[in-house]
Amino acid sequence: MESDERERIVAALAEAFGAATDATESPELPLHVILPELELPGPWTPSPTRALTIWRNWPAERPEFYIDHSVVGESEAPPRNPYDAYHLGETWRGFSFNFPWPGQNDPVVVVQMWVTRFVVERS
Amino acid sequence: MAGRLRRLLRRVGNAVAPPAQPEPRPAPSSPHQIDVRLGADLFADSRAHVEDFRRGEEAGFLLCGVSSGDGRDVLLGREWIPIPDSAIERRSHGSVLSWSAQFNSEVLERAFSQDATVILIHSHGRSAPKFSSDDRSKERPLFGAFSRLLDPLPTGSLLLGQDDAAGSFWHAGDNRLEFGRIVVVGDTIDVWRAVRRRTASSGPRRRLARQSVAIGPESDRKLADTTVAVIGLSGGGSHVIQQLAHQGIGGLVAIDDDVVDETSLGRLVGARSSDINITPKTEVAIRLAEGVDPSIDVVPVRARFPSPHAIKALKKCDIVVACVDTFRAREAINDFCRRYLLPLVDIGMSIRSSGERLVRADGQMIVAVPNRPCLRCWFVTDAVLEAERRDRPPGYDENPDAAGDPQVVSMNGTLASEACNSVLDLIMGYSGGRRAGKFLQYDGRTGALEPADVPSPRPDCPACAQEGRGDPPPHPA
Repeated sequence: MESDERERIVAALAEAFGAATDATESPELPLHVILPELELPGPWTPSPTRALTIWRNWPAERPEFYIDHSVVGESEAPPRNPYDAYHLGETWRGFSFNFPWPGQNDPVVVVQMWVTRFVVERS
Repeated sequence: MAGRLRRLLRRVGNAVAPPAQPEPRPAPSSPHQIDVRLGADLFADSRAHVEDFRRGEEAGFLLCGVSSGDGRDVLLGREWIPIPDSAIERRSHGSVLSWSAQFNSEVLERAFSQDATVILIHSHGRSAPKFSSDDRSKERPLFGAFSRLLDPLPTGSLLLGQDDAAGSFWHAGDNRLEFGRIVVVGDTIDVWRAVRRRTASSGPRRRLARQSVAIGPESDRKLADTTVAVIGLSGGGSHVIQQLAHQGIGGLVAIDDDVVDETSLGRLVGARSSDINITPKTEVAIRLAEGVDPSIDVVPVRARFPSPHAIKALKKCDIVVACVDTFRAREAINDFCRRYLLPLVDIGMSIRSSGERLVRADGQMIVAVPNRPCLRCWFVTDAVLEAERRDRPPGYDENPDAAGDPQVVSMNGTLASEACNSVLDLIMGYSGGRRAGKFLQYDGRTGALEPADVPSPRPDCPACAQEGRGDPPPHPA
């Protein structure tokens, strides 16, 4: 990914979600962006929380999306179908969630689609 | 931070003209131990500098990442920064060796920029080393200030002996941290203990008498002092646990989240029919190890890597043996081991069958140590990971309906035995370095087990770039 595209993604996410940090540890790795103040709908806590997005093969593929390992719902359980992933030297929570991916290149829209997962499970 | 840093740097331990002594903070509520772990090459560089007495004493700073744990922090060597002659004043202000406050400031700024801490290292050229009154007089102003600036990271000073060391470590102005040992990780693991920690041995274990004759009388104590983690306790890992217990390893961390099922009986050493659908694989591991020797300290972790529980347990280990199925898991474990400077022994088998007969049975045993090629340098490539990601998306193998890979218990056993031989060699060094950083290729059909060439470390390897980084910096929250 070109540096212009990296900067565009980080800037767009920062504007939409309050803050965004390029946390990529090595130029060999795909863009890693931390969203430190992502708002989750109730009853998910804590909110705001941290999320990590990894932009591998973007825009051909949707980014990977992880949340802080401490996030739980009403019954103190993580989102359904969870798994742990090791990125940036710490454990993040991943979960499976299918949504249509039209291959468009708006980074804000795709993160918003990931976050709808928390609305779906709440209901 | 920059303003605070500048203000505090003006006060920082100028070894030439010490500043006023800062007020100590309350001591930590419980004793806290500090160990140091670093690669053999880095240790050789630092010793070459501080043990060269042609101009008098020399010293330098070791830039370190930190592995924080319950009651024990491990400082992980990342970079050696010798104090240049241009910054040194000898025998001035009543001190054997002094250096400029400007150099201290540069070192601190380097540490801040890398979210790291520093250790001062020097030597008096003697075994059973003891800090001199000159050392002590410099220490309080220097590390009292350093430790406040680097808070919450510990900092301090190491005095090297011959195969032992003295240490004085600080946290937030307090000097009551206890130094334990230096662990030097290269082709073998070399331990330099704190002088006062040289305790009498509890005596040789009779059950290991024949092994001790084979690999040396020191092996009993060294093996007893070592903790090995085994990730994955099925076809490969159960063999490994059993053999490590027989070998006399003192501590085992057994990591797996699964329960014995009927198919386990075909490959899981120690599993019984009465375990089916009831017994966690960690319990089988405990039964295997404690059946050999009840004094082995077995820590079961009923979770998968990288659960926080598994990470916490792994940080207390000396060696990691990975017996996992996926390249994604290998990538993550390799990344972890590089960050914490832990030797990694990886085994795996890939079996292909036509449905009626065995077509291929390819296995590997890889020993990855700091400063040598890691799994991401050559084996777990982007292309391999990408292919696996397509076939098995993240989370796939947590699906209980996912098909299991074909396995043959006896072939797993061959690789597991070689993994245990490599663990022994990392501790005892009997191969002369011919296992570390090496790759054994196994053909389960013919029984051929051959060493294969490993490429040089990849300069742009993303895992090697994090070597010694330890715990992540606090990401924004």
